Amino acid sequence: MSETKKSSFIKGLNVFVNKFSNNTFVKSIANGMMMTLPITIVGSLTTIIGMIPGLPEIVLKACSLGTSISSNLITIYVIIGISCAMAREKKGDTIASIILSLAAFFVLTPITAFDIGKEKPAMAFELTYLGSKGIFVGMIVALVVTWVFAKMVQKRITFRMPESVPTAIAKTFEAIVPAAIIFIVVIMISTAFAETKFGNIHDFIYTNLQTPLEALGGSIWSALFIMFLSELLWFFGIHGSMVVGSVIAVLFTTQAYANMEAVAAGEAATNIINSFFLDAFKGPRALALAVILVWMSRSEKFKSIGKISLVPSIFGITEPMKFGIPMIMNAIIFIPLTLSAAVCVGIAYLATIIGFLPVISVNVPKNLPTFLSGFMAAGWQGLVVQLIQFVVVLLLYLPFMKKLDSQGVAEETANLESN
Amino acid sequence: MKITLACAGGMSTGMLVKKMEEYAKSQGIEADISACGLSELEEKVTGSDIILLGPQVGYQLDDVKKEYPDIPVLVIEMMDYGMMNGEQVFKNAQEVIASN
Repeated sequence: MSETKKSSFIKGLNVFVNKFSNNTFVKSIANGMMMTLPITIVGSLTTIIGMIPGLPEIVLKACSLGTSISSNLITIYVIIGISCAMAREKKGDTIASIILSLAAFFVLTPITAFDIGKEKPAMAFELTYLGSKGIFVGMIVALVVTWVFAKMVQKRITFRMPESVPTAIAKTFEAIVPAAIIFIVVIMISTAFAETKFGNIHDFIYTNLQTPLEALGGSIWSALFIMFLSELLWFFGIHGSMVVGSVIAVLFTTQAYANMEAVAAGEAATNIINSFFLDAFKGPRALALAVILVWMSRSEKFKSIGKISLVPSIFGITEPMKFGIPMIMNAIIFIPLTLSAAVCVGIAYLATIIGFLPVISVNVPKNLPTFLSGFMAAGWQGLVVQLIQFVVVLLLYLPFMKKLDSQGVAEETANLESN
Repeated sequence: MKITLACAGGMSTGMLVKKMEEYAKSQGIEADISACGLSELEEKVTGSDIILLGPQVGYQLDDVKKEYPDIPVLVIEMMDYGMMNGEQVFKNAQEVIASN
């Protein structure tokens, strides 16, 4: 590729990535899902504690309560997060948007009568719709309701209050008309769906959208492709994992929470490919590379980058190496850079298939140190898998880094001689 | 002088902040330097004299500029970022602020 072609390609790519990741909907999904992290990580902690053998019954019960409140109600938290993110994005009223989104979701969710052997049946929302099975409807409702609400307030489809009314009060009144319109439309949608063979929007979306998407998300091939894509973006200097974050949220999170629900109910988790799995087993790539730089390179430049990067790399921070080596637009490093994450996920997948690695059902914080994260996610087997990944990535990078290193040494000697 | 750095999560820029602070201190310059994730920029940016973006989120430059038309925005040079060259980055920021 000629220089000008190259730079116009990168410019085009930048514009495209910018458009994609700055799309209000994509951004709100990514930021909103991030807001649910604390609760799911705490819920995962109780799952991990509950796995310790020989615990007394009361502790087990307490742990299972923690897990089920975070996984069986995940859709509620997702709605709050996404609605909040979208409201910020559209500069709308956050609290009003969240309340309205939740209300709309509950209107769309069937209330079932359960015969409990008394005179009157118990009326209740089924937990299935509030957990992993409802995530999609929850996402859609939060995005659409908050967006429409903000638009209507902006377009001033609302009561006009006289100037003399204090702003705080005027604001409350301003929300009434849009809220009423949205609420009525949602009730109409809910009533219409009750007349179809699906009975409600949840079962409609689940059959027509979620099941096919889950099949796509659940496949190892789409997981490997997304890992590759994320690193390919890095090759062009773009923060890949940030860009594909919302894609991963849409394709791989429901399986993760379905696993967590299963564990909370005392059953076995079955979805091998899920977002928790991908987060925990993308592989200790940063550490492997930093180790090569510090202990196996002879060039002063690479050694010093290694020293800067070693400690951060334990926590998965790679930027100093990506820009220092540099790995960006560096053809020599293209193969290990774009393949190592996919290779690592492949290794973990194989380890799960043969029954060595348990199916992942807990969410470990992303920047937990390498090896500890594997241990937290899957016990000693997780640690072993990460160790294997570490060695494989190291071997994958080594020949290419050796080549770069000898180039670096040659440059440094040339510089010394010319001085 | 207030300098705000932003990258994806505010972690790698956080490392650079330390180096920049060290340099500012060694020069006896009073500077309030902080790092954040792009999504938190809105809360952190008030009163900043300059916004520095990590190169990995450089593709957001136009949008950040549009969002904060009164604050100069600069994408950090890849090499300076990789080598965590706090001195160079701080000097570049100083220059832009001075010429603004």
